[in-house]
This record gives sequence, structure tokens and C-alpha cells, in this order.
Amino acid sequence: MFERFCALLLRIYPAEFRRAYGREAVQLIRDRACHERGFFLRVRLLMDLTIDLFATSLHGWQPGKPLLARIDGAPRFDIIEVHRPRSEALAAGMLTSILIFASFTLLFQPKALPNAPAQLGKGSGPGIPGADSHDSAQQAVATDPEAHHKLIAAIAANLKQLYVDRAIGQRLADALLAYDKNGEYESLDMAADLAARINKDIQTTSRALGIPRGVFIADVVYSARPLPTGPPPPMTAEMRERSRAALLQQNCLFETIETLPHNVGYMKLNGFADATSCQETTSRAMASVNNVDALIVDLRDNGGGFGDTALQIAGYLFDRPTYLYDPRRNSPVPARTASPISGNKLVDKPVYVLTSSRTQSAAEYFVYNLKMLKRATIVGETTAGHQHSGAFHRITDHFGMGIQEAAPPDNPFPVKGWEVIGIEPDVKVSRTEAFDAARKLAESQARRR
Amino acid sequence: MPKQKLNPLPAAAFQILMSLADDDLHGYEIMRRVEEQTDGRTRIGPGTLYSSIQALLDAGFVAEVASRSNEDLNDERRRYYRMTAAGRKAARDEAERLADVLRVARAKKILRGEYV
Repeated sequence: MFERFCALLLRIYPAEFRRAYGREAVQLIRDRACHERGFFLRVRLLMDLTIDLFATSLHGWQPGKPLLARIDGAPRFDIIEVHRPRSEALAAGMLTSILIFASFTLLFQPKALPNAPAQLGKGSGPGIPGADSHDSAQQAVATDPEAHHKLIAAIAANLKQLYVDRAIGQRLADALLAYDKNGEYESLDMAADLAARINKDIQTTSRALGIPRGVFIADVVYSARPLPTGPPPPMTAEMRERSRAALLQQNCLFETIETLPHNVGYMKLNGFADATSCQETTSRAMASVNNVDALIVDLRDNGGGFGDTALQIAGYLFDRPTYLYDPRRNSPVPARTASPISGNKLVDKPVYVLTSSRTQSAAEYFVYNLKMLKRATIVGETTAGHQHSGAFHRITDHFGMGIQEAAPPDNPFPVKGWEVIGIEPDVKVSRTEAFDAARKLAESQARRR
Repeated sequence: MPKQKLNPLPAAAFQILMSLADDDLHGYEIMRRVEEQTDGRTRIGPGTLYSSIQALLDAGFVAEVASRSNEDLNDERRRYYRMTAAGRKAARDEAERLADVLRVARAKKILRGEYV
């Protein structure tokens, strides 16, 4: 519905634009609508479109616009002309405003949860290659009600047969089948919406069955691209070497390492790279901030990766071997840090970790443990809430599901995990404000020291 | 199609060229990449995005490619764009111009600290 409304907005764009790029623009809006859910993001999308529409109508598509002034070697100032707007543009703007305000009632309706990205066990666990809600637009699922019923039946059968607690698996399966029998999935003609609704029902039922919040149960995934039928082929030595070279070229995903004023260290890490390739780089990165008075670790764009690198970094923050909870049974990542590390001076320095709604998986493992151990102040947004601790099963060409098949290890912490709920920051600010907020806190701490 | 002039390189066109520095991308990916590289401050709408792309195509700074270099990531429904050598040079010139601006700002003590 929302996408159709946005597509209607496109009709207000100049005809020349629609002829040249109409299809791509619709696709772009569909992609954004697919990934930007929730009231705030939807309003933001509408605002962006409105501003873009005005800019395109008033500025970008009138021929004969003069050049922007330029003085070589000096700052550039954009000159905005004072021509009266075209009457068509004004009419378009008025219509857009009316449509936006009229659509507010639609926006206030509760939305289904966004489809979870399929990256179970990224790095060291079972992955779901091809399942990418980020890259492809969601497509309509088969309208045949029989296809819905078969899908729900298959999901229920998996829960019953594979979920670690068979009795609970049976109750979850019964609940989904009952919802299906009541026709509650029939109106969901978008595949990603259907997956999100099923996940919501699994979560709701599990709460009613007494499973603590944050514990991974199961996660239904929709992929616009067909899911592979088997595991990916093993990497050859040449592929491994190429991957290693690529990681090293990207500085093992350390985007920035620097010392800010007041001797505050800052490192932005956009993923936890494989320690077999990046252990040395990680050591050098940590050595470069060894003498700071406070440290900011920026994980706002960190989508996860390898837990052993997260564990390696955490090792610098403790003075003794420290247990970090990993929700995966038989995880290849050691349970304790390698602390103390010779020559390391960070153990008693204040640490601030920046988070966003994109922070997930291994990055959440790092954030969760530092928060539970009260070793860091978390600044930013609630994290994505993807533990990626289950085993993946393909159901159809486009649907699969991760299931917690083995009992997770005992968790000594009061919050039992981060699945769906994410990790709440200690200082809640938007992702764009997180850096400044953490810097102020860090500078204040550093000055006191 | 209106002609957008690219000397100097407008901010949106510069960001689009930067987004294409490493990979061939389609429109939505370009928008996401620009959002990421500006730390969420810039989200290019479809009108601005495609008019800038058209101007970059006209100037020979980007080229449309049938498929991207990593064929595993291809989606036949999309149009992919690639930065040309001329585009790389234009982006470098603009980056150098901005670096000059930064140097002036630092000299005037408008910007402080090592992190900018």
C-alpha cells in the first residue's frame, strides 16, 4: 500500500524524467520502502520524496540553468535563483502536501516487523547464501492460498521436529497452524511481510510460553533470490588468499583509528574480519590506541563477522581472562579473553561503544558482553537484534528458517540474549549524534584522569 | 533531458562518483552508499540521483554497464553504472579542491583537531 502510494507520487515528477528513469525510480522507492519501516522511517521517506520532488521540479529539470559560481582554490557558494516557481510545480507541491497529510492515518497503523537479514552464523556458523533482504526488492508471494498453507505447515513441521525443546516446538507449531486456520496470513501478499508476521507470532507465542526475551527461537527468512540448495563449496587456497589480500587492503575493516583532542582514542570498525588473516592488524590497531585516556569504539556500521576478532579486542579491556557469553553451542570462539595482554594499558581506561540499528551479530556479541560486564558505556541506538545462533533450513526456493536446535550455553547474565530485542544503549541518541555524545563523555572522563 | 553542468562538480555528482570508486552499483545501492559515506546526512532522492547520473553519463564520467564485474551480484532488472577514467580524474580534482578548502579552514582556525 505504502509503496503504491509512493509510486503514485512519482507521477508528479516531470514527464521527461519519468520517461527516462521512471522504472528505476519506482524500483528505488520500492527498495527503500522495503528496508525503511516503522513510523519515523516512513515519514522520513515521504519527506525525502517531497523535497526531491520540489528540487526536481523547480531546479533540476529546467533547461538553461546557469552554472554555479566557481573561484578556483576557494570555497564554492551555490547561487539559488529567484525565479518565480512554475505554476505546475506549485500545483504539484500542493497536491503532494494533501496526499502526505491524508496518508498519515495509514502510517499510524501498526506495521509488521521488518524481515530479518539472513546471515545466520556469519563467518563461523551455517550461513544462508543468497538470502538478502538488503539487495532485492520484496516480491509478491504466490497469491494461491494453498501456497500459504503449505509454507506454514512446513514451518510448523520444522519447529515441531527440530526446535531444541520438543514440547515448546509443538506449542509454537500449533499456534502458527491455528493462526493460519483463522485466515490471519491470507491478506499478506508481500513475501517479506508474511515472513515478518510469522516471526512476530513466534515471538509472541514464545513469550506466552515463558521463554525469556532475547533468546533465539526461530527466524523465518524470505529471499527474493532463490536460496541455494546445498552448502557453498569449500574455499580453495586461491580464494582464501584473495579474500585475505582484500581484507588487508581494507585494513581489516578498521575504517579509522585516530587520537582525538584530550587524548581520546577513536576507532571505527565496520566488521570483525577473520582473525586468521587479521590478527596482526588488530594487534597493531590496539597498540596504536594503547596510550589514550579514553577509547571510543565505533560499531555503528558493523554488521558482524568473526567472533574471535571481537574476543581479541575485548581481551585488551580486561586484566584477567574474562568469560564472554556466546549463544552458539560448540562455538569455535573461545569462551574467555586472552587477558592480560603484555604491555597493554587499556584495562582501566573508560570505553565507549557506538551502536546503531545496523550493529548486529558478532558486533552485538561484543556490545552485549561489554554491557553485561559493565566494562563499556554504550552510546547510540538499540542494536539490530540478530544473534544468528541457529541452524538454517531451506523450506522453498525463497523461504528458509533458522532454528535453535541445540540448547544454548548457560548464560550467567541477567538479560538472556539479544535476539529481536537488540541491546539497549546506556545513552540513547540517534546514530548521527552518537559520536558527539560519546566524545563529550570521553573528554570529560579523560580530563578527570 | 536537461543538461546539468559538471564544472564545478556539484555535491551530489561528486558523492555519486565517490560511491562508484570501488564497485559497479545500481541506483538504490548508490543512494545507500552515499548515505553511508556521508554518515547519514545525505539521502539522494530519485530525481536528484537520476538527473545527476544522466549528467555524469553525458559528460562521460560514468558509463552504464550491462552487468557488473562481480556477476554473482547481478540482478537483470537493474541498470548498473561504472565510473570511467575521466570520472575518476574529475572526482580527484574535486577532492583536491576540497582539500585546499580544508587547508584554508585549518589555517584560519575554523577547524580544529586532528580528526578533520
